[in-house]
Amino acid sequence: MSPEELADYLRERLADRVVDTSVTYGQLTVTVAPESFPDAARLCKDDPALAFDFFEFLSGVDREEQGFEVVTHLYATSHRRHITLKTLAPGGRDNPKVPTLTGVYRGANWHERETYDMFGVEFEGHPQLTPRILTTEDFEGWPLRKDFLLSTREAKPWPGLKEPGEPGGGDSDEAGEPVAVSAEDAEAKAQAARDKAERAKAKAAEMRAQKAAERGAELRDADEPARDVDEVPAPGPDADVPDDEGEQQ
Amino acid sequence: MTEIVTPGGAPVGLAGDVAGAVLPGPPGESMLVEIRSSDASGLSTQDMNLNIGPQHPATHGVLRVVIDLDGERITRATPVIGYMHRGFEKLAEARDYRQIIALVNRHDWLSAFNNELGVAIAVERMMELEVPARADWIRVIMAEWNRILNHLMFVGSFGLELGAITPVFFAFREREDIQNLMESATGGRLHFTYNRVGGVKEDLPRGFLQASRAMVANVRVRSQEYRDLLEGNEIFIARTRGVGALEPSVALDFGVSGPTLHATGVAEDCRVTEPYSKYGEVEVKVPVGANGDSFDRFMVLLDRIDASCDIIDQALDMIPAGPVNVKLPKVVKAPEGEIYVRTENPLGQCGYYLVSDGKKNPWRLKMRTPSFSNVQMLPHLLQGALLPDMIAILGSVFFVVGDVDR
Repeated sequence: MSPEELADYLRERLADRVVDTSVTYGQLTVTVAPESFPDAARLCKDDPALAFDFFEFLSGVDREEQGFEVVTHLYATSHRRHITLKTLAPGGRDNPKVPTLTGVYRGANWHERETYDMFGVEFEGHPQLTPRILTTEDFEGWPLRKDFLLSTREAKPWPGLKEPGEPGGGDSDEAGEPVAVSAEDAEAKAQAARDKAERAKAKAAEMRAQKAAERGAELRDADEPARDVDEVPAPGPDADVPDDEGEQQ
Repeated sequence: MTEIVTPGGAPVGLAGDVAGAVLPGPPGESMLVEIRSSDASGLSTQDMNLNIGPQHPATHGVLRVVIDLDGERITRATPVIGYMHRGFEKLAEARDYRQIIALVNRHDWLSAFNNELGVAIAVERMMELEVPARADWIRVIMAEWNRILNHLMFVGSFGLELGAITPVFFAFREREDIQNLMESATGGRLHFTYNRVGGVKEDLPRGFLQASRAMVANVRVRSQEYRDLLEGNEIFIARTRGVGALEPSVALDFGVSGPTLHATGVAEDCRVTEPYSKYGEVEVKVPVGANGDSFDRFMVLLDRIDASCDIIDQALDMIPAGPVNVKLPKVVKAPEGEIYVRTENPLGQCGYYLVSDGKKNPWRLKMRTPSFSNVQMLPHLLQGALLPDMIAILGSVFFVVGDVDR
């Protein structure tokens, strides 16, 4: 059975519960109505002509304003065939809910817990969605949603002049092409650059002054015992370099 | 009435408490031993709630297992994961495809090359890139070397957990040699980052193929030594045979793969069923067990070392000269769409579900890791087992905690 024939076979069995089928890169994806998600999985597993016995994974995809898609991938060891089952969780972004697959595949248990943990998609009938499986107990938010920012981005904007992917950005492919910039933008940017230079200059001057003051103090205190090393604050100019560790929260 | 008191003075559990499901609380709360009586008569055995890990030598990292005991028998086991969650999937959405290759070789640190391979193949298939033949053969050789490297680690550590100290020293002797060999080509000893979209980083150094051939012969001899050390060892057999037997249908239902699945007799290996790279042109032997117990799992692991040696030998005969990568555009962008690519990693099936919106970083990269599904099955194996067998079971369901938590 080719992926196309498999799609027809499923359409026959599931009738209008199949929302859409597509074949990309030789892989079949079947989108079903959310309430018949477990039925579709049950059919895939129990029908001897399909016999999808190997549970690969279950996860979610953020589809922004449409809500969240729940995706599961199954494999038939006897027929050596794949299928991706998909459904769009009803309830939008506020209250996404999909019936559980744990009654069909035992392996779905942790995968659903992970999907709940990462996207906040609730699986109705799941034996135990909490405590959260990967994040901590007191973790707030749903990390893999697109509106959840990486912690470094939240604390500090992208250090480059432009966001990655933005035209004209340092490492984008449009770098060589002239980018149309309005006069106001150019002016604002030039002003920002001037401000930055100004700040750097002021900081350098401050550092110099501080160093000089310290030297002066040392000369004056030459008779007194040497200062404890721990007390020297010495904030180097690189003290505020962002540490990359924070990103892997 | 028995009362167990913590060092701090607060009573932890009282005899006469209702026995029943106790959910593992947040770390720090149920870290202490808790004793409860199963009925009011006081004559029955006492249930014990025991916490293994997160720091425990048998768990290869920070896996925590909360165990309910009735005497020495495990009545319930609950793995608690997430102590090593690093958010790779989120991070991957903010990185471009070249950076992702360096990122994904870290989740299972014992199978770095195999991890990279899946992502490289996924992007290549989406971009419809033709990988040069030499690069594909190099990938096969390196993937198998990495597999041997991984299996040697587990061969050594499993013996260690059962009280046999020698195998781990032997294993590290070979690991060192193989790491030197891989370092000569990739520059890395653990995280190779040798794959590129469209091929590999650079060609093999001169003399690599001869050195590989000599090393294969060496590993074959040495793998016999491990057999001699453990296969006929009475203590080893007594502690592993018939312990933690897994049924094939349950294994498939949980999505268990790799040596743990093969030991049950199911020879599902995507190097054979859907060959990637050049696996279609070599003969891949898939060793299988019969009983699915700890002994079989270990034997499958040893046999896989020999099977990998055979693959490397064939690949060394067939590797042609030629380029090892293709010229790529300045920014690698996968076209809009989605793909699922899986590779047979040392620990089982590793899959990448890549959803692209046509930009230079993926919209979503789901990592299907073998250890996650394998560890999920643990409660099934541990239930009803004896506490001393727990180590033999945990050690033989080969997993890496970084691969579980990602």
